[in-house]
Amino acid sequence: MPRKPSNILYGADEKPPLGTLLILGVQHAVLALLFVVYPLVAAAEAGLSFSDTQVLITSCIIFMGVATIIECWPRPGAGRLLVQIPNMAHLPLAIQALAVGGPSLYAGMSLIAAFSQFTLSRFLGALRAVFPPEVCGVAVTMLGVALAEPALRRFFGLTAETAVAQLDLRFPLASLVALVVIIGLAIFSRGLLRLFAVAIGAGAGWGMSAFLGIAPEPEFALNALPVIDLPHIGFPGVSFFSWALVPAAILTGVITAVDMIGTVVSMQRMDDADWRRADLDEAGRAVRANTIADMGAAVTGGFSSASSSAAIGVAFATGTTAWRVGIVSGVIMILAAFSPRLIAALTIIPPPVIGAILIYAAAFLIVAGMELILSRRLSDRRIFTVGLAVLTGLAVAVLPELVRTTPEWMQPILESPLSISTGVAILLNLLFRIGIGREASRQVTAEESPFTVATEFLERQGDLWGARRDVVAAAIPVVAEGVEMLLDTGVAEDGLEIRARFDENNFDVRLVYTGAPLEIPNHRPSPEDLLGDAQAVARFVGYMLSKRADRLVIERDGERQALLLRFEH
Amino acid sequence: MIHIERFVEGNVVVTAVRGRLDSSSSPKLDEFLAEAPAGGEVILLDFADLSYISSAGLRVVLKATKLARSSGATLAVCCLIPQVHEVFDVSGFSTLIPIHPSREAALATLA
Repeated sequence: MPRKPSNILYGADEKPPLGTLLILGVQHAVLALLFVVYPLVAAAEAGLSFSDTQVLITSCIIFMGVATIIECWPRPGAGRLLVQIPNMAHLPLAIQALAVGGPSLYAGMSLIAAFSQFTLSRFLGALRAVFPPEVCGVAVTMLGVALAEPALRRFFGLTAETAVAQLDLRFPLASLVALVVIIGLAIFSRGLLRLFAVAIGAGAGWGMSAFLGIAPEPEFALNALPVIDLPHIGFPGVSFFSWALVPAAILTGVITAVDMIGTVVSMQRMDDADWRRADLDEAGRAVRANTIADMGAAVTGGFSSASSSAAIGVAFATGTTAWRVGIVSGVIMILAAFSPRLIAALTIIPPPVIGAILIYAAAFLIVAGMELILSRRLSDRRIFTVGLAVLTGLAVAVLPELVRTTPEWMQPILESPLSISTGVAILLNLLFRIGIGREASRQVTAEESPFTVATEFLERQGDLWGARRDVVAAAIPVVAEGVEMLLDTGVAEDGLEIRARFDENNFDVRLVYTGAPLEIPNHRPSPEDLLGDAQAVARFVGYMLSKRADRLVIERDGERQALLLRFEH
Repeated sequence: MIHIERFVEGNVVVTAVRGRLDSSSSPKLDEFLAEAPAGGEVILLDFADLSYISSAGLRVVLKATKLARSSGATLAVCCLIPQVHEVFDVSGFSTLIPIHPSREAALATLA
């Protein structure tokens, strides 16, 4: 059972009281529903009819709820608080497919994207070497960076057509009110106020927007829409006729999977004070749950969804990562599909409010990603893996014109800072692994300082292998003690060899020497033994090593003896 | 590699050790502590800046403790960093020698 961090009130497996569950479930569901703006944009850009738009959104919401429920359930899902929102990564694909071939072509392309996601998810467990913490960290950081543009546009009330010279200070003011309230409540409040942090902040921002006259008016009469109605979903058929879109669909699936891995790892990290490595099997289950829902959405004319990074911000602000909250949230989303008026009302939330929530989530994700990156020792290779990957992501964010010079089918993947950064991090990680052995060794003589030798050797190897700092730091004094004892007592007759090996689960150090095998007592010898002969000292130190390493094993290496010191990683 | 300072606070002789205490550096501390203390004297080893101690260092501390006891003096240590504290715990030294969290706490108890 992972140790719950002190800032988390209800961890993943905990059962919050019913009232709290409902409060948090509603908050997450409402935030998720705000993002129906994505399918609305796709429908508007593609010139979709009102009824097709209704189907696109309603089916999307239903399958957002379904995916949220499956992903949050411990099996077959991930057992984490993962709340779905309409998938922004699908926006370019949806606009093109809907414009070229209507809902049936988008359904076909969505199925291809879901299939590519599903295929990738089957191999995630085996791809652990491809996703070490620094690569996951780059993905999580860039999730935050990718949120920055839409967040800041809404924060400052900028549209694509607005020049900065025309900045309307009412927008940042309303946004700031929402942001300050959310952060203030998340940091300084306890109990109900903290659980409501995002809702209260959003309410304050909405109130300020209304007061300043920047709350948008609905484009249609809300009263004309029924409060409760049967959901409008359809079966548009499936078409694959546009082969030009197939590469984009496959890439969209890959981007979605990477995005999902980022959110799952963020939740794992948030939930475990002693987090060590990404559980990619769990991430794979979340991705598979998402693909099932995406396939359902595709054949019923809906827009695809994916787990929300904004929801991670809400989980952090409210200190609750309980998966049961997600189940409530998923049920509420499905119920919301029965209320066209509610959905329409949510589409008029002031942009500065969404901007504030996104900024909060982006700030959290950027730092969470940095924490992941710095959880391991960084060699030059790793520094450049991370640095170049982040720079590449920033390059496409800062210089979007670069992306427009590439072939059209590549643009969906290249224009996303998240996907391009993660892709570069994966490639460089694999490239820089060339020439790094999983085992290294070094001879030590009696003239050398055991502590200096252990420090230099293990730190260098730890950097190369990307081992955790705390594990290497714990191993150094134990190895130094072992070397010193073997050499000083003369147990090692002619120097010794340190062999280090790293396999992600264990950091093993073997002290190989010629001489008598060590005797490791089960009970602590008397400290007086330290003043005794070499054998007594060796026995005493052997006992100490057995307690300070996670495991100590006496082995034989041909004619030589080996003392294996294992440190769990 | 190792720096040792000695000063007197009231009736307590404080020996502050900075650096690493291993087989190459422990003879220096051994030499420092080799002189038998007077009866009733209190020796405090301040290890606030001691980053590492090996069994050779423990041996010196044990010898000094025995010497102090045989002369009717008292020896205590203070300010252990967590890694050094772990060594004292695992070796059983924490049951042999009084350990104080800070120099102030040690002086308040021993003076």
